[in-house]
Amino acid sequence: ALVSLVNGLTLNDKNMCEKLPYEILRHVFKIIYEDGLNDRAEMLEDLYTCIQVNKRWCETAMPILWSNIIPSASVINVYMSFFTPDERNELISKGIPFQKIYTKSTLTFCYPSFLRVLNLHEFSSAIFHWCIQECRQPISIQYNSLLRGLLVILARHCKTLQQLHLDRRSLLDNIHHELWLLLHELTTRNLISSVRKLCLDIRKIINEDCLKLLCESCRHLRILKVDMTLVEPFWSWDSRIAQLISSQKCLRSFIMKRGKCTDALVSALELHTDSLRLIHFRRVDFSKCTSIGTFKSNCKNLEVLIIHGCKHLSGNVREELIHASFPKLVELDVNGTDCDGAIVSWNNCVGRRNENQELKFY
Amino acid sequence: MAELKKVKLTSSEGTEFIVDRKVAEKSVLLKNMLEDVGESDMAIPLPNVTGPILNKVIDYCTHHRDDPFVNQEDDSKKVSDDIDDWDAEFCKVDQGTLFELILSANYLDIKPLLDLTCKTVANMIKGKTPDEIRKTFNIINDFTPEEEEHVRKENEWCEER
Repeated sequence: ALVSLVNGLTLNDKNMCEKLPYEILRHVFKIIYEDGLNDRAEMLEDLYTCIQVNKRWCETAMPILWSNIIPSASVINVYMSFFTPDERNELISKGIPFQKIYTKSTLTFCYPSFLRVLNLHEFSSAIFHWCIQECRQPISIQYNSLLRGLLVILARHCKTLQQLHLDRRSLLDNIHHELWLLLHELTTRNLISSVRKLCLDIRKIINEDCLKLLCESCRHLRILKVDMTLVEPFWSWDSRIAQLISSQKCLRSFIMKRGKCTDALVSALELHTDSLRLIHFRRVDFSKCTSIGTFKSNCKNLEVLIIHGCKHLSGNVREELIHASFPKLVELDVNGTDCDGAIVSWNNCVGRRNENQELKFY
Repeated sequence: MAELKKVKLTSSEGTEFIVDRKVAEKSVLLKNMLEDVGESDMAIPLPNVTGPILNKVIDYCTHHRDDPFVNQEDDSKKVSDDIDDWDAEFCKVDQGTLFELILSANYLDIKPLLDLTCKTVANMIKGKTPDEIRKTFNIINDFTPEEEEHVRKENEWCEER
């Protein structure tokens, strides 16, 4: 309704749109992009329309359109245009056809340079579907060669990757070690040095070397989201996550789904008490956590604390939380957490301490 | 009851507006200036904002004076269909005024107003063809036919379902 109302009004200055600074036009296109995260097809159509309006709109909207991986075989065709002649020859020798692929010089933009969010699951799916369409069966050699080759293309052209997503579980997980592929070559490892947000299914860290390289390559995370839903019991996953947390310079948000919160993990998080704004534990087992350490007094900037559906919090941990001081806390959710009936006094206690701030209890 | 602190603002034509300090502080630019200057009766000149637009901006800031401060680094999504009734009514203006509001919100650093006005423009774009957008905003197509064809072809995957 709003659209038709605005369009129906008299226009005072029809050239105003041309005068909007680049940053504002970009802000408008980002809104269209973010609206479309729930309906990607519509968003892509709208941005596709924007890039056809004129050169300025095209140059402004294109980096947003290509900021994320679209799981489409056609997108792989465009990325493949960036292989050098030598790389092409090598891939052709492995059975990868290049008949339908443009050459880099004929393309309007350096599309790989626009990538900001790399979802390795979607990227590998797009490559897999491209191979199914274009290569002779079986496709395992072609798939692996193309995945490695395209990661090199991304590393060569994309210098400011912001987010890395390795959080989708799929049936292909057991044969596709994308994180290891990314990390074991220096060229591709550099791709993730600028990443600020990492979403990680913990099983992607397939061995100690993989963990070590991840800790060395990815040191500027602001947001770390770990999913420990399907961990193998013979791995001490908490210490590996603790190492990853400890290797960060300034973590602001930590989100953990399932698994166990242990003293090792709390100790690692203690290194970030000054910077942490959000801590979210969802369905986490606290039976191996004996204390929240210096969190009870040093977490001065914490704004959001969610301990949702967690279990086995010890009496000591509950007591420490009740007496903790989070002066900037504005959102608290302890719903579904096993507190042996202490949850009411806990909520009341935190609420009273922050009575001048808006508290949201779910 | 303590008297509310007032602030004087002057538009580009020299029209003076007196507003509550709390209202003026919705603008990060003004908030920083007021903090730097301290207590003063001097009017703050806003050479980039005309009187009618400043009036609209003050309307907006007055209505939203008690809204919580929005963190600039907040990565929450800017969804364009979450405009409330008052804001929707506020944005029922001609296109020139809408773009002036965007520029003023940007200059005065009022993020919620910038988001609102940009969302309104985003809603004007959605669902239109390139030609309809050009007509709506009076934009000249400066592509050569070859350039346009290249851009379209390289990105036609956008229309895949």
